Amino acid sequence: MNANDHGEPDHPSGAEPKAESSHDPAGGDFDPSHTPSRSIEWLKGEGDSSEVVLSSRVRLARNLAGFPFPPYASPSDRAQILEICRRSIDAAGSIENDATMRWIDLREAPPIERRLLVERQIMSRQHDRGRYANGEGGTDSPRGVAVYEPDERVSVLVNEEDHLRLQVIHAGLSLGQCMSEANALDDKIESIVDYAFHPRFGYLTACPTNVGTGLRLSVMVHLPALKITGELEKVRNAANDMGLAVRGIYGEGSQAAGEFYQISNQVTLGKSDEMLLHEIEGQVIPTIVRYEKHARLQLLNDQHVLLEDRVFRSLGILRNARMMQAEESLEHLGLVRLGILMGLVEDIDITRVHALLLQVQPGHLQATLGQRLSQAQRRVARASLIRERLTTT
Amino acid sequence: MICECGQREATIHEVTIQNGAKVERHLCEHCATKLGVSTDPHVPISQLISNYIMGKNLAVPSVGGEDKPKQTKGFAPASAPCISCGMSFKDFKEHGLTGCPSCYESFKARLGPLIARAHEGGEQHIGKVPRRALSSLSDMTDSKRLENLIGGASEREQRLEHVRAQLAAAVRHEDYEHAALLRDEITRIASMPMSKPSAQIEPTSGACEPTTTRDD
Ligand SMILES: [Zn+2]
Ligand SMILES: [Zn+2]
Repeated sequence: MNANDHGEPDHPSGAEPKAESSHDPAGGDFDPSHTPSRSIEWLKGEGDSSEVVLSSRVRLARNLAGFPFPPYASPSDRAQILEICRRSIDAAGSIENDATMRWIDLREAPPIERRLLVERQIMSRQHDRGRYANGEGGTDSPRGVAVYEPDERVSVLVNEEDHLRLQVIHAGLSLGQCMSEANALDDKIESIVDYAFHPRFGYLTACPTNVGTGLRLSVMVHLPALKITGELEKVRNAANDMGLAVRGIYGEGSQAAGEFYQISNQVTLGKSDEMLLHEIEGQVIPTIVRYEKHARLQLLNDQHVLLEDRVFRSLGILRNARMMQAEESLEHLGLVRLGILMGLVEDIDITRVHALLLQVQPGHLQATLGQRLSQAQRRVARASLIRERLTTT
Repeated sequence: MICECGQREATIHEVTIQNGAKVERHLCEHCATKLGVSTDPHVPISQLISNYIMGKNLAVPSVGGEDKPKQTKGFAPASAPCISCGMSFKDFKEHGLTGCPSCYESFKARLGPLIARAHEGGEQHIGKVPRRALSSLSDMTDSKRLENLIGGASEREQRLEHVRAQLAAAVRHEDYEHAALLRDEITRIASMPMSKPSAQIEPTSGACEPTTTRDD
């Protein structure tokens, strides 16, 4: 039983570059009103250790007592579960005064909207497709997402692999804050419905790899210096030895994209919420941050020309290329981000780079431009968008 | 197709599994509402939940309620499917997904070792417990339901033992921050409400009630 053997439901595995060629993500009715103009929490570039840590994310997996788990439930069961969960989330009310909940029924949402949610890391590709690891379900399978506006920091997936998956994202290293917000929402929902809970296995989930706390803590880190100094593998192996999963920014198989990684716990049973938090936020991530910062200083002091060459080569490509794939652009944006943080690139605001990490994704690119584009058109449009954003100040 | 009631056109079709067998149902809007298949916005959440459960001929689940499948006639054959959802252990092995919460009890003996392996030896949940359920059951005299939620004295001892072992390891490694967290956890577990052992409950007036005995 391996946590990764059924399609990575835990981590929205967004726009892996392969998806771009396999199908047209923006099929169906295109509505330019979906253009994202809000500030996305994980791209703010703020918070503790923000030079290395982009964002922190907490996810709680919860299920209703007495109901089959979504993969094994009949479509009509799923419809009833969806209704009960949606109303419970509704009744739980807003998490803070200025936040409003937006409910998206994924059976009805146009493909472009679903695509944007995947790229913004709110939901997994699995939830987009509605297809479960056992082959059940499909795009018309009853499922939804509750997103708290305006910053989308909090969201709840309904009828993904579990009935409810509560998520909270914060910029920077801020797992403790995420966890207390997730717990508060969890308590509100639990005041309305009974959760499936077992004296020995804790919170019960469809996949036994998530039982116990049902808690997944993950942190998105940017490790370009460790990559250049060749120490990245050591860090990866150390993290794996500690029972942590290391994945690319947009999930499995996208490791090369800009040296952005998600690090998360795999064990959820036998360690309390606080212990898991302490391990990751108190021990593992600070160590990785220290290594990366050390590698950055080492490059600046001992291999200055090499560092400059990498950074300005990437900047040159971004400012001059006429066709660009999403994955390639992430790679260069990652190096330019490093250059800005090291003080080598002074004429680009880092928030523009952060915004581009999302804007270069197929769905967002088309939403930004307000039109559907073929893959070839997207490459041209992407290159021109990047040129524009990185040359005008 | 005509609804089960034989009066109206069936517009809602569903397949459920009862006692391991697939049951197809074809219902009109009217009957569907009665059976909890409908999604009328005016029906309260609690009603939706109990409608669903009644529609499936299951006991209404309340937290700590007896939703674990009862062992029929002493022991069930190893190949027996989950009584609530009908999934077999073979199905589970194929996809790595359980069918419903009761599967964990149905397949406890075989799932236990697999779960421990996936969680680096973790066998006993510690940490958060559903808060409202815990506090509402703690006030009740029905200690059986509390026990079904968080376990009885033996589970508590198992939990404490587990945390004490971790604490000893943390102290050995001079990880005092971690040790402090573990001490907090011990305090928390020790302060959790305790269900009274059913043996100490006074026998009720004369009747030889079939007391709920546990065989663990
Ligand atoms: Zn009828
Ligand atoms: Zn089951």
